[in-house]
This record gives sequence, C-alpha cells and structure tokens, in this order.
Amino acid sequence: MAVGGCLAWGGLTKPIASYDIKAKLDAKSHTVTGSQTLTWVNDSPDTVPTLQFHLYMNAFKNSRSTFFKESGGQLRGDKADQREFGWIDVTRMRLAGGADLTRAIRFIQPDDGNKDDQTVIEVALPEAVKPGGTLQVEIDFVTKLPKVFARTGFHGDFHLVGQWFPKLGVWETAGFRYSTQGAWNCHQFHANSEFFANFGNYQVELTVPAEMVVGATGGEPVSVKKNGTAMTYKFRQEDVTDFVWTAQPTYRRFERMFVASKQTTPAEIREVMKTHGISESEARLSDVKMILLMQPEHAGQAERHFKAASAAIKWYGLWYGRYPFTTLTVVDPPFGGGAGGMEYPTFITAGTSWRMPADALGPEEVTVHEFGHQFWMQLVATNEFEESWLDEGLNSYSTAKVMSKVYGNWPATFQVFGFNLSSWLGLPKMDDFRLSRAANVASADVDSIQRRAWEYYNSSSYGMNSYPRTTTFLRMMERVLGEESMLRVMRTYQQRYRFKHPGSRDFVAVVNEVSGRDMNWMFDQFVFGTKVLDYSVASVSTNEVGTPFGIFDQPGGAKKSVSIEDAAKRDEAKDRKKSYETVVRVRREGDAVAPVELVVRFKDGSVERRTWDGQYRWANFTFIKPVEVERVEIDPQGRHYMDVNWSNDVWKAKTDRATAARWLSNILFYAQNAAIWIGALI
Amino acid sequence: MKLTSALSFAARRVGMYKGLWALLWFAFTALSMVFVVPAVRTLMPLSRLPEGGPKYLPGFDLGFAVEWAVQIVPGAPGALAGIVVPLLGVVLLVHVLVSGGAIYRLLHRGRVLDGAGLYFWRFVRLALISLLFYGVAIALISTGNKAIDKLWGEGMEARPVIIGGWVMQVAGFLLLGLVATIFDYAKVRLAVDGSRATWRAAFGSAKLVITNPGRTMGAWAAISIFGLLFFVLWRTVENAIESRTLGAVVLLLAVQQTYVLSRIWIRLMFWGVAIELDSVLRLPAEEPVAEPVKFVAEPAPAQSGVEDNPAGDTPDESVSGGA
Repeated sequence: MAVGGCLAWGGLTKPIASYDIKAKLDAKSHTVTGSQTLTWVNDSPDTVPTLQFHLYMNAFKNSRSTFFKESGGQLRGDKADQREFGWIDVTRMRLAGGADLTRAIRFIQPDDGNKDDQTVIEVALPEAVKPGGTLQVEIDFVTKLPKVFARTGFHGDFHLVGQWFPKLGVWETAGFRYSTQGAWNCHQFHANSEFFANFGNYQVELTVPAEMVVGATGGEPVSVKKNGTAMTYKFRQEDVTDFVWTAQPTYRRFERMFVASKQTTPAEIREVMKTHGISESEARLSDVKMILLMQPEHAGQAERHFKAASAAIKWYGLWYGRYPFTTLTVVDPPFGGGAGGMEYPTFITAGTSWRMPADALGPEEVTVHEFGHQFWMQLVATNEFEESWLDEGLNSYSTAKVMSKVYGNWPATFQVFGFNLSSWLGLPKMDDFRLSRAANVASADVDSIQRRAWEYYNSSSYGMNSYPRTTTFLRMMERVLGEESMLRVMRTYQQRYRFKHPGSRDFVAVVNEVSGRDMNWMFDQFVFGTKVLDYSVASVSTNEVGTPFGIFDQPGGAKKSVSIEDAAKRDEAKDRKKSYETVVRVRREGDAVAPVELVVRFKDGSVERRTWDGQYRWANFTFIKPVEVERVEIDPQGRHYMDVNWSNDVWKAKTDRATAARWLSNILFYAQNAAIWIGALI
Repeated sequence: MKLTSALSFAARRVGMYKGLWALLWFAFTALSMVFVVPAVRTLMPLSRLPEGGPKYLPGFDLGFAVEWAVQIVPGAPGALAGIVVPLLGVVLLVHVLVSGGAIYRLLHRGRVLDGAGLYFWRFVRLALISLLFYGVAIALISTGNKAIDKLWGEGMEARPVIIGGWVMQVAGFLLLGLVATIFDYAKVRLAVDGSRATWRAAFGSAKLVITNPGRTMGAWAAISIFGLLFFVLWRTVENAIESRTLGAVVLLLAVQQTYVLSRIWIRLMFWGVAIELDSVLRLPAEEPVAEPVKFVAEPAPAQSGVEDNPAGDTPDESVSGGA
C-alpha cells in the first residue's frame, strides 16, 4: 500500500493513524489471523522515539489482567466465560521494508504497574520519527476472540469483532489537551474505560466462511470475492477512529434509506437556520443508508429499529450538525451475549428480545443512544479513558432529548408472558431526565463528574457520573441558559471540535463563549468538584402586625406616647385594617452555591418574587401584606435540576389533604394485600 | 359432589358468616396499621409529599422516592425493614389464629376466638411442616429453570428459553397453589377429625389432593379465576379514578377496601370448599360420615403448659359434610 494513497482519501480530516488490514476468520476456533500496515503521521513538533500500541484483547487473556482484576470478570451484568478467554499475539512487527521490531516489543503498564497486564506494548524505534514525518509499520497478529464479553467476542456462530487489532496510541504534544510535554496517551484497558484514538483511513479485507453475512464499519463493501468456501469482503472508511465488524450466517439483512428531504420539514430546517444563524445548506441533512442486521427471531422488529435510527439521525443532525457519513450499520446481537449497546464508527449494536412489547422502548433507546455516539466520541473524538462524561454524558443528555421529543414519557416495563402490563397496573411513566435525576439524588456526593475511568469510587460511581449525573448537570445548564442558548452551545462545540480531540476545558470555554455568561461556577462545583446542591424553605412565619406602642417622634420635634393598652384597644377595633408580617427563611442545605429565585404567594392572590445569591447559609425575606401567606416556593422553574431534594423547596399554609389521603390509602391498601398474601401460603 | 356444587355450598357457607369477613378485615387492617402508622408518622412525613406541580411528575415521581430514602429520611429503608421483618412473624402468627378461628366458625359454627385458641399449636406445627413442602416445590421450580438453561446452552434464540421460563412460571404457580391447597385441606382435616396428628394430616391431605386433582385443584383454579377477575375489576376501576380531590380519594379508599374484602372472601372460599370436599372425598376410603369422631387428647408438652384446652374442643361434633 502506498503511503500517498492512504493519506489521500480523507476529505474531512487529516488522517493521522491509518490502517490497511487483511484478516481471516476461523469461525470454528473463533480466531482472526491478520496482517496490517499502519501508516502514522507525526503531526507534532516532537521527535518521537517509540511507538505504543493497545492490545485490548489481552484484557480477556487471564484473571490477572487489570480489566479482570477491576471487573471481577463481570461487567454491566454480563459474566465472562472463564473457559473461553480472548487474547492477541503480535507475531511479527517491522518497519515497512526495513528493520524487524518484534524483539523490541515490551509490555508496559502506564496506569497501575500491574506486570501481568498485557494490554499495552511499547516499541523502541531504531530511528526516531521527525516532526511531520510518516512511518509505516507492518504487523502480523493472531486474535482469539473470547466468548462475548464487554461487547466483543463470539456466541455460537455470531461474531462481533471489536478492539481486535494492534492499535496505535495517541501522541499528545505539549498543549494538546492537558499535555505539558510530548508523550503517548496509551492507557491500559480498564473495566470502566473505553477508548481513544486518532482519526485515520481504514481499508480492511476480511476473509470469512462464505455462508457468513458480514457487516462492518463503512457499511457496504467496496468489493466481494469468492474463493472456494470463503468470501473476501473489502471495506473502506475514511475519517474514523476505529474499525469493527461482525459475521453470522443467519443474520436477516434489511436496508432503508434515511432520505433527508422527506424526514425533515422546511419549517424544521428554518428553525435550525434561525436558532444558529446558519445557511440552509449548513442546516440541511444528508441521506444515509441504514443497514440492519437482525437476529431471525427479531425480524418483526426491524421497523422499530429503523424508526429509532431515523429519529436519531434527524434530531442529532438538526441539533448538532449533519451526520457526515453515508451509511449506518445497526447490529442486533443474539440473546444471551454481552454484545448489545455498543458504538463504533458508522456501526452500532442495539439489543432487543423476542416478543419485546411495543411500548417497552428499550430497543429504541439503545439505538438512539449508540447512534448518538457517532457525534459524541466519534466525530468529536474525546478521550474516553480520561473524560467519559464528554462522550457518555453528553450523549445521554442528547439521547434523553431525542427520546422525549419522539416518544415522550414511557412506562417502566412489567412483562407478563410478553405483554407489558405497566400502564394498566398504573406504574409511573418516566423519561430519561427523571430517571437521571433520581440517580443523581442517590449518588451526588460520591465523586466529581469528571475523573479518569478507573479512578472513580467504584463501577457504580463511574456509571452514575458518566451517564445520569452528567445528564442532570446538562439539564440544569439548559434550564439556566435557556433551551435555545444550550442548543447553540452544543452545536458550536460539535462543529468546532469535529474530527478533533477536545477536553473538558474546551467544552467549558465554548459554554462561556456562546452563552456569554461565566458558567464556571457550575463546572467547578459539579464536574470538577463534589459539591451537593440543596436549598430549602427552612421556615415561614406569619404574624399580625400590632399597633406600635411607646414614644414616637412627631414632625416639629414633638413626641407622642402610645400606651400598650391603647395599642391593644386599637388592635381590637372592628374597622381596623389588619396587616401581616411574613418572614420566609431560606437555607442552603448543601455545600454547592447557586442563585435562588423565591416566589411567595399570598391569600389574596398577590405574588412577590425575590432573588438571592445563595452564598451565605441562610437568608430571611420579610413581607408586610394585608393577608397571610399561602405558599412559598424556591426555584419555581425547576432550574436547580441538580438539587437533591425538591420536597423541601415548597412550603404551604395548608397540607395538601387529597395527596396525603391518597398516599395513606395506598400504603394501607398495599400493606393489607401483603398481609393477606403472606398468610395465603401457610 | 360435583365441583360446581362444592363451590356453591362453600359460597353459601361463607356467605352466612359476614361477621367473619369483618373480623378478618379488622385483623388484617390492624396488622397493616402496625406498619402504616410508624411509616407515615416518622418515615413518610405527609407535609413533604409531592403535590404534582412543575417539578415532580403527577402521581408518582421516582425522584421523590429516592429523595425520601436518601435525603428526607436517611436510613428510612433500613428503619422500614426493622418494622417489616418482626412484623412478618406477627403476620404469620395472626394468620394461624385467623385460620383456626375461621375454619372453626365455618365448620362448627363456633366462636372464632375458641377456634383460634383450639387449633393454634397444631396449625403452627402444620405451618412448619408446610415449609418442607414449599422447599420441595421451590427446589422443583429451581431444577426446572436450571434444566431449561442447560437445554438452551449456547442457543442463539431467546424464544425457547423465554417460553420455557413462562412454562416454569405457570408450573411454579401451580406447584405453590398445590402446596397451599394441601395445607388448606390439612387444616380442615385436623378440625374435622379433632386430631392433633399434623404430619398425618399433611400427608393425608397431600394424597387426597393429588388423587383428586379434578375437584380439589379444580376448585382452587375456579376460585383463583374469581380472584383474578376481582383483581382486573379493581385495577380497571382504580385506573378510572383521578384521585386529585378528597372526594375522589374517599372513592379510591372504598374501591380498595372492597377489593380487600374480596380477597378475604377468596381466602374463606378456599377453606369453605375444602370443608365441603374433604368429607366427600374421604368418605369411601376412610371413616364413615355418620360415625362421630372421637377426640383423643394429645399429651400436653411437659414444659409448655400453654397447650390449648382439650375441654374446649368439640369432640362430639360430627363431621359436617356438605351443609
């Protein structure tokens, strides 16, 4: 392969790490034998003396890998098959047409020093790569796939081949993200981490048994050749950070076109143009070929998947900018594997099950979410090892917006023989924002939102902070800035950093710039800090204002005396106009500080509004009115989405008797039923 | 006796004792209040309940539930568990008393309190024996589930394992129903015979139920279908009530308590049918109906001294059969 050819394809970004791979699948032993030519461009001003590669598949090699130690062999409810390990061997490495590097390979453990971990290798080069220089390395490798675990591997004759080839780390020069000096960013594979890579062009030839139906990054193969009982597919995809493929003989393949002109209305395009001040050509979306590889028993759910994928292509596109690739492959993995819900460039895995009720929206949500990763981590290629909130969090927030927009609130799933009875049983309907807020309430004080993936308190905290807490944080930001301003923030960030590798500080800078406000207070407290937000209406008192007594100065210097008895008499006079002094005390219960809006409603219907900077621990607000107070509420617009206790935001003169009675009735009823059920068994 | 006749007789018998319904409702409600009062007073402050409005979702918001557990009353779930766990023991004991009283009333028309005391210890023993039967049932269900998983193995399709799961759910439900029915008949047998031989009653009833599945389990299935109908009716009516006003909440309360009464009727019907069928199904093989059952006093445990009073039993009562 010519260097010039590899570098020439990209139209959207400068390729840094490009791969030309030839690989063959042995479907019986679940082994991939491959050879690759890596073309790397040293786009930095540094002279680079080594290369570092990820060998992700070695995470599944034995129980002493860092991944296994951290996960205990279990991830997101899936358990690793302790008899079907996965591994990768680099059998040969040499410079193109030059020195053999195989003996220079050594395993390194930059994160935890675990000498048994073999997920990163370093190779000393005989000659350092000069700034602007290009290096080609030829690598032969053998990859044994594990039984599906952590979204890669095989299950029966299903193969999802992800993180399967030696993959170069990212050279970060001084000033690139957080680097102060040039170094490889090549982390070990951790239980809670995903990936980070440069953009490049991929050309991959896959030889598989002829009966296999194949899907891959790039969508449609550029060529297909039959060689006896095998078939060789050639795929190409430019401007991406990774390449994944799948093969299974029984896939049902469906295709649909996302036709942008039909899926969007002129009014929607005009709205985008107006919100962002952009031209029609910038606002318009492009057509996308959607390829769906379904398990045969799920074939009846194909349209659900297409509808969800179309909704995602449409709304992510309208909000953040068009999806620039021409294909999207959606893979429906088989039941019982751990392959569902994963994202790769132009290729995602969804997940459903047989007889999935129509109103159980799990398949839709996972399809929307995984497609969303095309924007948050693929097009804007952040470091998932170090800043998972920038991909999972921004994408969960975006997913929640799409799901709310397209599907509204939906009920929890309670299936009986394949029928979802949750609506009939009166189970509550929720959306992702509500669920995320509930998660935030439960986990607000454990970690800051941003940490390196393996440095959270535990796996649960990684998950909570990377997904729902970030969603809640961004929802609060949306309510503070306003929805339109937030849309401009997100689109600007996407467009500015498309095909780049921004960090958290870049996002903060975009928020401040686009909103025209200093929003560091939010980031510092929640993203980079561990502050907990909770304001309350601490107390409300209303007292009738009595006639004052004592000595009072009069105009002209005279003094007037009012005795306590006279004051009391005047208070009792029937024609006296009463007035009440209402004192509202608002408290900051948490350690986070945010501006507070206070609304006080009186019995004559009048409303008083106040704002408080929320800095000190408490503040009093006093009102003199002819009537008593009826209701006090802080943050009436619900801007404090990160507030962990909304129930103390409201004070009412009268308890809501209907609500209290309803809860009492329900609690009594369910307790009675439980008592009868328990006894029915003995 | 036909199944329909047994159901009809049982319904008539249960219908005769409306005071029994009231007593059972009172017992279950009183038990529930042991949980509800502290839960509401200390763990679920009513002034904090969400009222709908712009923040919380109307009706129920998961966020409020988490706030309640984590922020409003930290440690509330643990405190609730502290109430519920000991209460479970009390509930079981009350059930033993209630079942004794109810069966005595339905069978002998005696006072509920007399029956509760009379059968207390033998029904406690029966409850302990039932653990063995339930253990076997649960082991069978578990084995069935494991067998399905093993048969499915490396399967690529969910359909077989899901259908297998449904089959096991139904089988499990039937097995639990079978055990519950066996012990309903065992209680009735002890009461009819005036016997204290709980093991014999348990295994005798197991034999009776298993050898006469058409009528015993048929009656169980018929009553269960009634229960399902009541459930559907309650759920449908409750779905139609928008309980936003006090009046609507009163209506909700009435609907819910009517459903609780229907559950009590179902409970009584299981015993009533067992009373009707027990004598008929045991008639040919065992003791004749006309012959009074002699009460044989069981030696009182040496240490307890709190065994029920044999003199209070009714040894001369004949087996009532289908009244």
